[in-house]
Amino acid sequence: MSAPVFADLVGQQEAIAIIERAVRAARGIDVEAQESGAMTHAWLFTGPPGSGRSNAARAFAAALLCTERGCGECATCREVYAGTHADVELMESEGLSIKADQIRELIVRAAWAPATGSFRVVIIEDADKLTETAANALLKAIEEPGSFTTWFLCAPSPSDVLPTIRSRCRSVLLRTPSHQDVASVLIERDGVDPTMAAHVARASQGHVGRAKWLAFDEDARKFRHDLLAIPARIRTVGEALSTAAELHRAANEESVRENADRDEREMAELSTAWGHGATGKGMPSGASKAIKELEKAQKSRTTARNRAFLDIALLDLATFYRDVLLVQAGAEAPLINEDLRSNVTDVAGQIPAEGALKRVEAIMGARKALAFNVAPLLALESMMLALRLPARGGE
Amino acid sequence: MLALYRKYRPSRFADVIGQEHVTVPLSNALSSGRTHHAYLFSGPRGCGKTSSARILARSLNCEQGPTPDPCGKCQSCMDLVANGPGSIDVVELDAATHGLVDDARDLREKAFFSPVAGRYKIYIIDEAHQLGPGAANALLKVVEEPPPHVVFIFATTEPEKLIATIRSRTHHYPFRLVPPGILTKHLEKICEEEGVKVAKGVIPLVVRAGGGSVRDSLSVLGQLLAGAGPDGVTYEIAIALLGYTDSAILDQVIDSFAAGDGASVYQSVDHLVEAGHEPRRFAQDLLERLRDLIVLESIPQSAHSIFRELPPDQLERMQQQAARFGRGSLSRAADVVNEGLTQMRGATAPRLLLELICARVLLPGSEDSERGVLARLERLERRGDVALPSTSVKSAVAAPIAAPKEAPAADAPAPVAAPVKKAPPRAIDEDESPVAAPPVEVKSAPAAKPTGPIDLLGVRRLWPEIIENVKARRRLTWSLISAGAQVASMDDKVMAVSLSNSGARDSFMRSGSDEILRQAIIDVVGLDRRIEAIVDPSGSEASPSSKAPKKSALEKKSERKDERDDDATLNATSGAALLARELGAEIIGQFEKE
Repeated sequence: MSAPVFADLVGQQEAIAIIERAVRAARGIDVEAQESGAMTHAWLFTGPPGSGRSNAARAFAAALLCTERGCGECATCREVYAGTHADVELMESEGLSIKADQIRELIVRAAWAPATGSFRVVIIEDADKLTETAANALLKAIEEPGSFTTWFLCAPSPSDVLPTIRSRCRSVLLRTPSHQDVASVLIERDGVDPTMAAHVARASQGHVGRAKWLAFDEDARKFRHDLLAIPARIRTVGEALSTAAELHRAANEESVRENADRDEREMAELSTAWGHGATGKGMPSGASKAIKELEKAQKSRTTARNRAFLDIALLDLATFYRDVLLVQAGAEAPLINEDLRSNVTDVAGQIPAEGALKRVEAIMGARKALAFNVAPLLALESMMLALRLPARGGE
Repeated sequence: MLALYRKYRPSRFADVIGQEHVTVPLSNALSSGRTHHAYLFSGPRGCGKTSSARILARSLNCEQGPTPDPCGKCQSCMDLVANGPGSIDVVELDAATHGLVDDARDLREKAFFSPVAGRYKIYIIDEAHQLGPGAANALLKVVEEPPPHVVFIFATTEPEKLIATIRSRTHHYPFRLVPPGILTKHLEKICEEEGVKVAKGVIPLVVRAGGGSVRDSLSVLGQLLAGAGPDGVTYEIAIALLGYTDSAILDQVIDSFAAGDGASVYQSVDHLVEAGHEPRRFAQDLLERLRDLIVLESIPQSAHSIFRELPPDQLERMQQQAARFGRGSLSRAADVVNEGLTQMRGATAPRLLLELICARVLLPGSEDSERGVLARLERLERRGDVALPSTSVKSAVAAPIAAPKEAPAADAPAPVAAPVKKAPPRAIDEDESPVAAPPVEVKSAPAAKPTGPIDLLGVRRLWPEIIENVKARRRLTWSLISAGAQVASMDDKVMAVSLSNSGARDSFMRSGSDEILRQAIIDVVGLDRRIEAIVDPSGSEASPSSKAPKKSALEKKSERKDERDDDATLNATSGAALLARELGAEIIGQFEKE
């Protein structure tokens, strides 16, 4: 039974075993593990989004520092998770990249002697965001750190970091949790109904966070259902264009709805700070500029949210055609959209396998176009046109 | 506990492995006293640049030196030993953090002070490609004409990023990746020193994972040793820890790709992912296997020397796979997987992307490019050389019935001979007799009857594919015919299939397997014949492949479970349908024969 602090790592038994062994070795509890070199000074956690990379790194740090090897309850564990522990340097990135100056500063702090325990842990949560200079600045530090320091780096895949970084780290692979694992954690931890849990686990393709969201948000489920009805529905150019418009509108509404409250509150706070509503001459100069800047930031946040929403929707659409391909090949592997099996078989009968693949390529093309800032409506329309089913009577 | 790559950092040039082209000249220079004042060590990650720089510093400053063989007893040698405390006269700088012009000016100033204890003051500038342009230029003068007691050693993975004026002032020693043979010996030695038992076959895995870099390999080895149980590192532990795909699963997927059997490809992917394999890792392994097959396809003669580490049966299997795939399809598949891999970087749903890669490999028709068409053409050709009547008629004329048995194939006109190259059974023999290979098939066909000899040969040549196709249809039939069934004879209507004993024949007929086989032959060869099962007159030793019975015994367990519906839809019945399906042909008009 692994320590409580690892409970959030769903379906990662192998990784947990490696980490716990390393912890035992590092703390001198397991002499055999210590001699075989189970602990080392630099670790690289890789795995797809939702597999819990940074959770694994934090749990590792907590287990190293906590007297109970990761009870999850004590002050140490909580501090590690909150990123406030004195001996844990947590590098979370908010921007698009991690700059060399940040890393140089971090390296200096990494070399400090530990304040409380006998370890100093440095966690870099998005090692894939390191700029080239930053990564190079890290090289010497992670190759031969002081005897207290341990480095934890997290990245989606080993190829996302420089080969020179990779070669200095011991890598821990986190896998996509299986559907059963996701379902059982939803049932046990969040009290989700088993049928629902099985459904959302499949639909989310092993992303625990997304599965939970689907399980609790009725609207999200309904949207997904409507979305996946599209492939079996559209035939004419008109239908394709109006569906694209609908999807575009839904994405806009969703992103505005999600940010509206926050936007409003921020705006109110800012205007109050600048003296809005006070008696006197009105707002001082500079207020309108600040308000404009806030508006700009809010707009870019809404756009980012919009893109993310569309991206998830497009990936969901792609899973439908993946199912179509599976049905056409006669494979017995379970479908992602088991609840829509009739739709899937219907479409599978109407288009050849090549057609299904071409539609997936169209979806992937649209995702790429969106990432390159193409006007969303145009990208969606072009994609929907490619998704049209042939008129009755063959393609 | 130090990481292995730190623990086994060499302290003498003799201990640096695989870099003789660097260490020997350097040792000679040291013994003859012809050392230079600035060196540049370049090469890929983890092949000994920094270690060599430190060794050079140690050799230069040894009290008995400069010598390629530092004494190890003097103060300087003890300070500069690997993982030692270091010496004040040897300054190791990280250009990534000290790459600004101010750092360079600071260095230039300090360089003029004479060394404290040693003979030389040595600056090791690591990651030198990160030197900013200002810093590099500021160093130029001092690197060109340093005080007599100063030696510079630059180490970098990317020498081309270093400005040319620095490079021209140094002696440049390019390091190389370490060849697998040397690396294997090195790793074996380390395992011995660590006192850990390592199973056979694990070291090659480590070497493969390390990609020729000593540090990478030692990182991986360290990970394996850390996970070792009481019996040392077993092959299973290694595979699981490294996340490698078992070669049996790879074989299975490649075979299904070759047979165009989408169902089993998707199923394998499902099993893989559910068993916790990383989709990206699998795609990488698949790409590597495809690369191996391409090499095998291109130079079958020297297969044994290139793939020395592979057991012969695995090599044979891969040769069959290569032959079944065809060159165009192989290279296309590799391209597709490679593109897919780049898309998988940081991807949201790696499994979905892996399945899409598989779909792309399976469906060349979805691609309008040249390579897609080539792959389709290749698929068509392999059936076409049997199915198209014109070819078979021509060959039948060219090969008189009365001729000796070797004659038909040896005299066969070019159109037939070329596609023959891709037939699986021949590829094995090709390395010994590339010219006289075609007759080999005749050898295994003692019962050849004069009726349509080319068609019969063609069917025999495609027999492995037919068996594969049957396997996808129904396991029971497959297990019956894979255990030594052969095509005995064939005429316009009936094809006789000989089975090893009467029991097998009876269950073959009872289970309706003849229909399954007929459909499979239609699908693969394009010929429609009624199947007649006979008992092999020559006895049971005439099985075409000695491996088949063993394999079938293993598979029999699952035959009932895997039995499929017999009403699988079939759409290929004639050459016309084949053309229509593969190339999108339309029937414009029809002509009667004769």
